[in-house]
Amino acid sequence: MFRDRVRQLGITTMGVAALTALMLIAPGASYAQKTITVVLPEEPDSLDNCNSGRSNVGRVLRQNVNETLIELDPNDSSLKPRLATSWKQLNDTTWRFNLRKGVKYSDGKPLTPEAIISSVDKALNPKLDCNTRTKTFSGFKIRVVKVDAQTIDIVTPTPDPILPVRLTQMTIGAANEPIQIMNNSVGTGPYMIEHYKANSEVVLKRNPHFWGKKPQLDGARYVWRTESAVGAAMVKVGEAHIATNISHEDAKDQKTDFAYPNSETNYLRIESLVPPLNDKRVRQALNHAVDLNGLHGAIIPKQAMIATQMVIPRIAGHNHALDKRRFEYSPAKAKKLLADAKAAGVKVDTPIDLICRINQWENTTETCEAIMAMYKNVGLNIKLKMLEVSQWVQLNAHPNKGALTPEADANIKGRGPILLGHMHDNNVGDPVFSMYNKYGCKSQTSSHCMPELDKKIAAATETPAGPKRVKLWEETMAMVHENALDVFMFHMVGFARVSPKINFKPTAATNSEVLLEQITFK
Amino acid sequence: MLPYLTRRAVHSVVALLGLVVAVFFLARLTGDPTDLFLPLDASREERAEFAHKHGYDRPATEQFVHFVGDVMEGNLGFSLRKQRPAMELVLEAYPTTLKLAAVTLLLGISLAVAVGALAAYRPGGLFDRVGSTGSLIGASAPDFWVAITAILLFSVSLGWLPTSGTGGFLYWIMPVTVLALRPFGLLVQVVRGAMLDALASAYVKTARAKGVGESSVIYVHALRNACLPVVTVAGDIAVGMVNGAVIVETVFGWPGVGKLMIDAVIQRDFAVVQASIMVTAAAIFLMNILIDLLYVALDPRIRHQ
Repeated sequence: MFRDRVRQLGITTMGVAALTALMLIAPGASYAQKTITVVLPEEPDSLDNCNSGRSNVGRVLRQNVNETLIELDPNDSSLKPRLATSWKQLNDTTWRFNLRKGVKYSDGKPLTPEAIISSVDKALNPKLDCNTRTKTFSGFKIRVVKVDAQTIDIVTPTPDPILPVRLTQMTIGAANEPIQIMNNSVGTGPYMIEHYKANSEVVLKRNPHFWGKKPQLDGARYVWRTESAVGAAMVKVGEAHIATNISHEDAKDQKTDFAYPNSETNYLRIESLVPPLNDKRVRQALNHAVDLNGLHGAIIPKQAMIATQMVIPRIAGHNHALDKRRFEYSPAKAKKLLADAKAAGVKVDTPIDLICRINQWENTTETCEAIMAMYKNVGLNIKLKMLEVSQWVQLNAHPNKGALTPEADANIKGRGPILLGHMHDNNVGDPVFSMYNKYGCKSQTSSHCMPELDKKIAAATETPAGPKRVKLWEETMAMVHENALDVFMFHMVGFARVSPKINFKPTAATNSEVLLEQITFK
Repeated sequence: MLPYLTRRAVHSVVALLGLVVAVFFLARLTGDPTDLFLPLDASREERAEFAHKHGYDRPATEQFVHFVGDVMEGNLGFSLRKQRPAMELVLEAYPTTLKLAAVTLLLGISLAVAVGALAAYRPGGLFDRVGSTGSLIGASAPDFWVAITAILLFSVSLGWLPTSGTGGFLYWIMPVTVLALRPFGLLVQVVRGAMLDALASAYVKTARAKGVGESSVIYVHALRNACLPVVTVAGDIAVGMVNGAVIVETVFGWPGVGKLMIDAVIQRDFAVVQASIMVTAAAIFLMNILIDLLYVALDPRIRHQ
């Protein structure tokens, strides 16, 4: 009797619960057959083309919805026409661009010089915090002038020999957009935004007015999953076709998982103006003490490349000769250099903080712990600190430069010498986007100041694109290497899982864009 | 009853105001969002301009005065990242959290009551042992591990369920099960213990001696009294759930308020942090009042106090 009652109670409560649950649950959605699903690691902050420099926005919009005037080839960093068919420099501060004919926005309106002027003005408007301005046009205002219906001039306040390279990062939006960040960018690309459901998905469909060859895909659906294993599983079971940024641990299937150079270089930033790191022998010892071969393939993916400089090999200005004469791993050499420095009065036993950022690259903690052990092995007084991004950024933005300014003095009060674990991403294609920020005496984020290097960087920056510019950048790389200014570790790789049903090969650009027009079904 | 509710509402409003003030100042103690928002290599001038534009260069007290003024006008600020009203983002995410919490609690509590009561029927029996061990495992298993393992098993290996995302009935099974495991485990233990006490109590024996029917003994006498500790624990769990289920939301790609809040804290998106905490705090206060009312309904002694 009692048992029956209890069973009845159980069945009733479960029945009520199941019924209520079903009432709360809504049916799912379905999508067209030639539509692919792309899994991103995070939701786009917005869907405004002026933020397409952010990877989470760029992967949806860049070249899919909003195109650039000039396109950067991710394989060799060469420049290719997109909305501009040709360009030339008229004088030091003026460049002329011929626009492609017959280009229309997805709303049917034509691409005009006026639209480009409006779009550029919005992207560089200081009232907005567009990523295009803060990342690529930082402190650099350009003016677009209409020449005729198919021609524009872009005028820079000071000579900018790499303006075309800079323009590969600026996507073009529609005319007269409101001066606010939007979620419905209109562009000239092969696709247009069909709908955006905040917190859930973005769906693109074909732009019927696209000027180029009709792409094979009808559209794409973007969803986001923070967990790499979930993104990878989605492709595995056929729920998605591409999962970008999966972890090394999840990329074990040789048929579907691809490693691609992601233009990121990890390194330890040395504060070369602060004792004892201001001594070249100490810095050389820091380089000789790290066993990069030991880390390679064990903690760092074997597809990564051991680095000798800030920029990756495909960037013109990368000094290939340095790759053959990197610092050899030699604890004996490191110990000798430290002993020599100590004999010369350098306080090599000063406590040094090795500071790394949690999850800055895969296995950051393991990498930094291994390096700490290597430094201790050669007798350095090293302490490891792992910081969250917000604390790490404070150190990055206010490096210990030996208190060159009162402001810096206040920010670094009480700090000792620091080795800051760092990851630099230059996907733009020219060392100018790396070298001044990392090594310039006046740069906010540089922990170095070598007047000779400063001059070399300035000379390279001002030199027009060509062999001379490349040579100057190579010389700056060599100078950094010779003075052991930083401890370079690896040019990193990213991993993506791609469904065997489609043709798509991730490239160095996959971190910032996923070109739908190049994807086809098998 | 009305004075009681009024008193609780006043207490809740005072506590909410205190929380808002604390969150405002504590959030700012984490640092300036400027360094997180701008590219790593942004110049000193750009940082200064950004901080000035958003008021981060002003003293926290001055920022607070502005914030209060804006709140009075119904403006809880704009998300720095999304460039949308913070309250809009929170209200978009909140229904997901509430639906997930509601379904999970309904299933978790119902199953726990059934299993706990069955286990209490014959203490030490096979069902009791299996139920108790199972509930202990459920209460102890880490959400994250269970979620990933469930995806690998039920989606990748067996292909029975979708890996993640929102949609029809099948999309709910794994998130709800993973989220319900711990409440279920805890509540089974509580229901079992409470039912054992209740069934062994003098009033149940008296009721049976008086010839009261078995169903009345269970439903009216034993279960009603056993419900009080269950409501206490379930209320606590419910309060945690309306705060967002961060791990389940993150792993299964459910766009709830828990993930929104965590992302906002990491990115120092102050307006979103403040708006989401205000909304969840209000929901928690409301939930606590409901639990109190449920207590009163279940136990007349509380009503008389």
